[in-house]
Amino acid sequence: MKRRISIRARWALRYSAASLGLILTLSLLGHQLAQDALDRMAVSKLEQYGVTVSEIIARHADEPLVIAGLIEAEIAGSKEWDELAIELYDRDGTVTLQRDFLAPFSANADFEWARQDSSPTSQITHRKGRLERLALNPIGFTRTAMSLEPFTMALTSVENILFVLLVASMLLSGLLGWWQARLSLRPISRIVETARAIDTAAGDQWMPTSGTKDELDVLALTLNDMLQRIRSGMDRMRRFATQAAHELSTPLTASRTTIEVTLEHDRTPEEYRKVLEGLLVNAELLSDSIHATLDIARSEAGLSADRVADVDLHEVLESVIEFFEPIAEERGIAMKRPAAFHAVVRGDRMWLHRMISGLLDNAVKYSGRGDEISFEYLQRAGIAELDIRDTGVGISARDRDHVFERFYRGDGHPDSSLGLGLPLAMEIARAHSGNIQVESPERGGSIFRILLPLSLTARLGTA
Amino acid sequence: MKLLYLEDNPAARDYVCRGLGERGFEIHTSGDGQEGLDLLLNDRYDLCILDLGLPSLDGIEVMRRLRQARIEIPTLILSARSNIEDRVEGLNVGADDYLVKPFSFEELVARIHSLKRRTSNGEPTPESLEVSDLVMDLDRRAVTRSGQRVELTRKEYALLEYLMMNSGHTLSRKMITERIWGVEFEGYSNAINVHINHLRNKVENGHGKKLIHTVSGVGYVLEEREDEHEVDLLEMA
Repeated sequence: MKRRISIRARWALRYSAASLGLILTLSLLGHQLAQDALDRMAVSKLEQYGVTVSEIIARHADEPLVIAGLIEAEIAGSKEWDELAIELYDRDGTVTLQRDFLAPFSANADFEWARQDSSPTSQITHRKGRLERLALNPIGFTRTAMSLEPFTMALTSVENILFVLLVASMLLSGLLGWWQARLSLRPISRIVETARAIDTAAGDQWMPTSGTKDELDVLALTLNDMLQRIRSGMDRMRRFATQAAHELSTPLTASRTTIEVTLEHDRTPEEYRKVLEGLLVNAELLSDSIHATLDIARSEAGLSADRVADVDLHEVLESVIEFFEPIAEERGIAMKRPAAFHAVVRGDRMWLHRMISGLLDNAVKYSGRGDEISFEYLQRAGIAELDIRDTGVGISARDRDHVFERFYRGDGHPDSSLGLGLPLAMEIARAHSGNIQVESPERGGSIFRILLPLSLTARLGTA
Repeated sequence: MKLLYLEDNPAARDYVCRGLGERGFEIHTSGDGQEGLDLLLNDRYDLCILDLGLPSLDGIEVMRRLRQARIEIPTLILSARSNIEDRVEGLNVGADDYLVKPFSFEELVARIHSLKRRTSNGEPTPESLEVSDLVMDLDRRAVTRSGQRVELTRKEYALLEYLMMNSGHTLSRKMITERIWGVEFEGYSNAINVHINHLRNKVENGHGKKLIHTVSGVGYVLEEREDEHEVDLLEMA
């Protein structure tokens, strides 16, 4: 596995690199500037000496023999001349004055230069760690030279300073980066610690939020939101498991008690038969409960993609009506078939069947002789709206908020109701990105309204 | 009839064996998929009841290999997996029927009989079905009772056809629901009573002999019984 270095180290490195780049550029620039300045300084100094010597020579051009003496005197008079070397030549190239020179005079090039008419009156050249000036004068030519060593030394110390600065700034910015990352990550470390300590399933522990709405606050809020969803999901699951266990334990307890009581005495075969038949009914109820519970759990997990197709809602409704019509008829309930409508939704035909069956079963169960069940279809803004209306007992305001809760059975429910039909219908509607609304109109009865998005492909196909 | 029952849960195996034994079936069992497959490949059975969650070889795999070996033994899958997807898979690999646990024992027996009938009769479909004085003309889709025409809806006709095809044999409510209305309505199997009553009203009312009989706790059977001459009005109610 590739191991990534920590964010702090990364920031330290980034800061160091940035500061290296910046300081290095500045140093090079500074170094160049310093070198130029020192060069100019050296040249102007040599120029100044050269001019002084030239003036002395110019003044005494007619008496060449005193010149050397005068220059000697000038040099002796000032300390500044100490760093200077000077040579005087006559036109033949004979040395007339030579003072503290650094290297033997050998370069014939200089004579050549002096003899050429086109040459300027003076020229400065760099030569092996020193600066040399050649100047023509009426009696010959002068060579002055100056060691560049003091200037080189100055530049070296500038270089040293720059290098120290570079290293120091790199270290310092690295440290700064590390520290800054640490500082900005500290709240995250706190969040990590809190998250580690929080019990996802239970409790009312939350991520501490600062309320500042900065990035970290948003992170904490997001985590809290997620926590909320996990908890409500787990809560729902727990409640469902508890309810289911309770619902299943009731018929189980009944069976058990029946068996125990029956076994207390010897009974006649008829009595045994009766008890066993009762137990069978109980077992069937249990089995139905389990199937319904599993159905809900499955529908909650969502649709399986390979079963999703375009489904004609009218066709499904017709098929469900066909099944329930005789049942309604037997109970004296009139079922009015809906007018034909065209509604294609995207979904699992079987689940949609179950959803409508659940609602119709409910309508039949809560209606009686003389009641009427009717349907109404409406299409608006890409949504299919199917009303299933009955004129039955209706739903009390208290029950209305609970009809879609699992195992909830309202007042006057029939014994055969498991309290799972409507919750399953709701889960199916939700799995299809739809919804079911319930209304109890003034005149009695109830209306269940199925809302499902119409299939886009079908809509485009028929448009 | 010689059955093989593959099931790894000893308790389930025990009561199913006992029950089927009492009904006169010769039943052999195994709790292991591979062993079961070997038995099926080397021995002759009339029918196989298969649990899906088996050790060493899953039920689906047993089924697949069995069909690969071209052994066309009628097979009923008995499983706690109630997903439509699982059922479809089971039937796709060649099972003939699928029953979900928990199941009613009578249901199992009814399905075993039905399966055996369905897979054993190689005779061509008859042109008409007859039970007592009830006649169904399959070509013309017409039903007469003592020569009198009986008008039926599409579903009523399908229901009667199913009952007549299996006359003398009990059909469970679940089997009827699955066959006539589809698996979507299996949760409402109890409502089949109403449909049967409708059918009875048309077929039996005023025609003397009762033909469609309720089998308590299981379902219905269509047959001519000597001891019953009048329609039981109590049951009609």
